[in-house]
Amino acid sequence: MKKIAVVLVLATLLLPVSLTAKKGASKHPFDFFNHEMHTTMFEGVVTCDLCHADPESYGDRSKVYRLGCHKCHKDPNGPIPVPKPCDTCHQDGWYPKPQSHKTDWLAKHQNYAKANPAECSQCHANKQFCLDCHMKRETVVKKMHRRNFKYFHSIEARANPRKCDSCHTVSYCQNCHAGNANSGR
Amino acid sequence: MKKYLISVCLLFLPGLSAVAADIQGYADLDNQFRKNQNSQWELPADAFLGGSFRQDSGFFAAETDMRFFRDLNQTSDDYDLYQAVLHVQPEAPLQLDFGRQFVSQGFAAAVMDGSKLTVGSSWPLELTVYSGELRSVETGDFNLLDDSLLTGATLRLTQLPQTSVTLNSSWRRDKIGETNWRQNDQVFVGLAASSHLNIVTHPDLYGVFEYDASGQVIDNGSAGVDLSPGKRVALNAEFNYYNTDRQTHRNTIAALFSRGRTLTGRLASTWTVIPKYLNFVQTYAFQQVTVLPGQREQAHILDASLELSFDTLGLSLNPGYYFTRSFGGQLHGAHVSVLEQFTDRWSTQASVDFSKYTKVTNDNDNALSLALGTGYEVVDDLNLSAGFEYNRNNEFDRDVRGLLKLSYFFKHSS
Repeated sequence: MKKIAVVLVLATLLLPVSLTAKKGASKHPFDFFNHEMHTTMFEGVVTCDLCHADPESYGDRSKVYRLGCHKCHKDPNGPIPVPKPCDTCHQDGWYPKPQSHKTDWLAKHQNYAKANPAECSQCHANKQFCLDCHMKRETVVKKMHRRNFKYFHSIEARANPRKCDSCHTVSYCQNCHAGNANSGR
Repeated sequence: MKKYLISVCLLFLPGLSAVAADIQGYADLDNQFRKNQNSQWELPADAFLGGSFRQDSGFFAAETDMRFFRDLNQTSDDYDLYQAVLHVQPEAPLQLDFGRQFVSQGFAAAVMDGSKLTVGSSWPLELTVYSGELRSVETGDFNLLDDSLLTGATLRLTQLPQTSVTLNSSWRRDKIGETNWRQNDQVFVGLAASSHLNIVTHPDLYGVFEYDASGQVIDNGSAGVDLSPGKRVALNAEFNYYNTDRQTHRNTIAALFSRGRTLTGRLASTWTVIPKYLNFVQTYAFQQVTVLPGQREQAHILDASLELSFDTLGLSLNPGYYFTRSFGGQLHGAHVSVLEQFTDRWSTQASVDFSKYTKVTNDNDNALSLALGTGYEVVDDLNLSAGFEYNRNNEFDRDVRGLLKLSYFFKHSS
């Protein structure tokens, strides 16, 4: 119990220290966008509807067509040759999520991905992003499930058995339940 | 194993001669110190390595990701190769992918040793055909040769305004020489679509229909809607039907627990209570699982949490509650995680997870897990982290583990 107390005390002490830390406010990617330069220098190429596909997006930046920038800045076959560094817009770790990602995305993402896999790769260009969850075995630091998942997984497996198949094969169950258990590899 | 590593390295040689290209690479090393249930020390280490190369012209690209495992005390080891793929685009509407690659063409996501051809990414119609031998890293490693053969085709309409429609088909053959078509082969056809409507609440509609032609059963059907009724709320509702063909040789975990269809209804919402400071996130799912023919069991899965962030302080808090009830038992759990970003380079994270469960096997218990860690970016893109965790559960009265983590990301454009 003493060690638990030490952990809790340490964690508690860290919080007040954090109150002294300062961090600069992050900017939205559109804050780096030069509207005048795009509409005057590239008139006729960068048309309004390239970004403002939704009429409401003129007054609401959250409705701007997010892949409009990528038409030129990411597509190797775009209408004009332009610089393509991602961090021009995606600074300070800002990766603006589309509306569909905001609610329970993990549970439903397969449906969107099946309908349009190319849209995923507009932002997640490297398949490593998919492999990270779908295939990667993390035997030392397990981040895919809750920390106590091992001890109640039988309840969740019976609630939604199909979900296990998304990443595991039957042999994964057999490794422990059929007597081939190891210590957590 | 060496010949495979050499092969992987060779994949990148053509790229080294290129002038205008993006090269990325990463290395993550996770090392833990712990005692197992027999009080023996274990020092397991996972090393993840990967990289990608992409010519600016788009003609040639390559990607690879792999993992090495070793228990430094027990001298056991393991390795996985997740992908080693070449992408060649000789002409704009044509792309070829060779090697071990991630495939997600309308049905289950998988890793395949094979090739994929995509034609017409800039046309109104895009066609993708692929074929290869599937790999499942859990059942062995990249030397394993006896997984299924997968062949498929995808047709995608690319220029419908704010709408996506994809037709998919696949043929999965479990054993190449097997003659019993009914039990050995699975032929799927499917349709997946999504559309954004510019009407009130800005709904995104999506749906998937998959038919198992060999088993003559509807394998999967989903329909859902995402709504944004206001700036501060986002809603999702989804219905799902699933009924895999259980007469094939191929075992699934779903088939261990069910002998018929599974129905799911799910409602989820995200509420912005105080913009930039506080969000409330919840999801609830109702499941009906056919355990045996004529015997259906219901299940409930609930998850709710708060997301508090104080950007000026670099502080994020995430307390939450989770609940599951199924024919396997009942679970209540609570968790809290705290992340403090002291500076751009230094952060600390603490988390607590407590679970209390009752099982039909009368194996009733609770589990506690505490974790504390801190990370520092020593130089640009090189992070060093250390932490420890305390666990108490039905395996360990007291389990203390230490963790060291080193991660490096490399990016070069020429």
